[in-house]
Amino acid sequence: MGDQEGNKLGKSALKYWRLSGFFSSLFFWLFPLGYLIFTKYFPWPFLVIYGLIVVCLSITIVKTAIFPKIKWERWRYKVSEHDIKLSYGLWIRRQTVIPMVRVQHVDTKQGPLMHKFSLASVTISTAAGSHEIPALSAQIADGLRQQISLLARVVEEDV
Amino acid sequence: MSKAKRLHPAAVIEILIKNISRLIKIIIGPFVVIASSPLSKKWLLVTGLIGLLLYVIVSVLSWLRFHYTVHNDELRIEQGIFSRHKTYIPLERIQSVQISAGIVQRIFALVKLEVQTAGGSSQAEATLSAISKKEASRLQNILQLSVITPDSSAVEAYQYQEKNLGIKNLIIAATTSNGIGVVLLGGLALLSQVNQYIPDEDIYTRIGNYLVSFAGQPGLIYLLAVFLLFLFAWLLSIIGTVISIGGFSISRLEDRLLVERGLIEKRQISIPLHRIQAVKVSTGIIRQPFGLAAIHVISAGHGDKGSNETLIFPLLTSKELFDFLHTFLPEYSLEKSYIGLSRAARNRYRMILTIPTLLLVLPIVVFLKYGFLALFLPALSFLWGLRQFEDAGWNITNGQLSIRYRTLGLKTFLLRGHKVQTISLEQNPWQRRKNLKALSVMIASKVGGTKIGIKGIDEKDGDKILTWFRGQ
Repeated sequence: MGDQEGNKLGKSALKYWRLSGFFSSLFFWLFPLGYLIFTKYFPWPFLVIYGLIVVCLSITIVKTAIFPKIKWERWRYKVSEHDIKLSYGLWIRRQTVIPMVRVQHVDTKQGPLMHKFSLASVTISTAAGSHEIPALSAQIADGLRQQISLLARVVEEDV
Repeated sequence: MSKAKRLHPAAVIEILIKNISRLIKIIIGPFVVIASSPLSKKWLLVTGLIGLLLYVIVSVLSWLRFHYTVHNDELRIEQGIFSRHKTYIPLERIQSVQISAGIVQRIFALVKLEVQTAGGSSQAEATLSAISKKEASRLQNILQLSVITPDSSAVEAYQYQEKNLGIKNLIIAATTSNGIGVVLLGGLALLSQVNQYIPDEDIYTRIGNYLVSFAGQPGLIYLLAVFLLFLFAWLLSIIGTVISIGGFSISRLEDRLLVERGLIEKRQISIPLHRIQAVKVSTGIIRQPFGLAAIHVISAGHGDKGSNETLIFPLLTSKELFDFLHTFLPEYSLEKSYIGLSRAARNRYRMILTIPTLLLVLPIVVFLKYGFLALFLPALSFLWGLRQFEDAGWNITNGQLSIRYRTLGLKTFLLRGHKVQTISLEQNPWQRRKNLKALSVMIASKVGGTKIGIKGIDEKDGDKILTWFRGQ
């Protein structure tokens, strides 16, 4: 069972991850900024600031260019009549099988930034926790939610 | 049965105690301040009595306003003095029923009945705090026997089986319980604290002097002290275990397991067989040489205090084990052989604890005389890791997935494919290089879910397990 089978997330998921990666990397820029302010009042060496900027720049590059790409390349989901198969992961690669009969409910969720990209995530809950397919196009997410809840309803089973 | 019933009047006392203890927790601080103020003692007494009276009235009222009934295949509870609070639990949602008797209940020869569903909270969804024993067993039968079991064909017509933990086995269970380690650690921690409060020259030296004269050599005192501490801790753990599992018995009534336990607080838990999500067979490190095991089950409704698991029998010899499973858990069986981890994972298991402990004891080895003796710690870690590697394994037979691994003791989980919620395989970069995978199986349990897993299985074995699971 190769873990490269199944559907990829849409192209806009990659854009969304790049943007949110970029935003989250901005936090690190507070360090050179803070240092800059401190050098005004304390006799700290100014040169350090270049080092900090280089570090921050590489963090931003990694978080916007590299990580989202790998994450996006790795993500696969496959919904069949009997089960849902997810495989994903940047460092730790994970493969999960959720039998349809175990699905208790399915939700779609959309944050403000996701809304801009018309993306939504699908959360599949079982009696022992939930799993998420992130950043699908809203249309596909809605369809998937309906499909899964229909398939899951065919076999009603209790824990 | 549609007539709503009240609890036994003794419930008033139970409610009162609960309310007052809740109150005490809140007002204990202010109370100390007021009591030490120059206010007259008489006023204090009067307000206290009025308060108590109010509490009694409230408790009586809440008893009067509490009704329960079983109607339309639902357990219905209505309560609340001013706002009515209604709880309706469909019988087919009931996971487990627990009957227990605390001090108040025992005085009046009553019991408390708690009903649990698969809902996320760890508290019982419905509690009948004081009812007669007869009423409790009547309810238990209604609540659980009317349940339509999905695979009742697997259950033979009618059968009743019982197994008791005898006095002899109770003593064996108590003396070999793992509690000894915990108590010992607790005792050591306590001693280190006590040390701070007692001046050096006081009792310690006096006892010390006495012991020195007695034993002749100062080194022996410490040994003796450690020995006594150990003995004391052991005794404490024995008493604790005896109280908690004294009178243990399990019986099977058609498709239900009834577990009874406890010397001071008696408890009876009833779990339908088809609600069981997994079975755990565990052998503590002390019990291992004797081949003794304890059996737990995991269900979505019930777990022992602070745990997601329910102990269903504390002590079985390996000979009894097969019989026990056949009688009480006929869907499960303990396999003898397991498919081990990949050879490539061996080094990781051996080294994961050895290297940190080696670094830890290195200063001791280098700087202290006889410091090399500390090397036994990394050596122990090495052997233990090796043992963990050798014991970990899995097996699939007749729709049952068995997963075995060792923490300190040996644990074997028995899982039916159709009770497993999800199965995941994980692979970190290091495991990718060695073609290894970590297996993790999620099952439903009292709170959220329980993860059962082993690390370091061969990639191909992981795929085999997934394929089996998808075929279920």
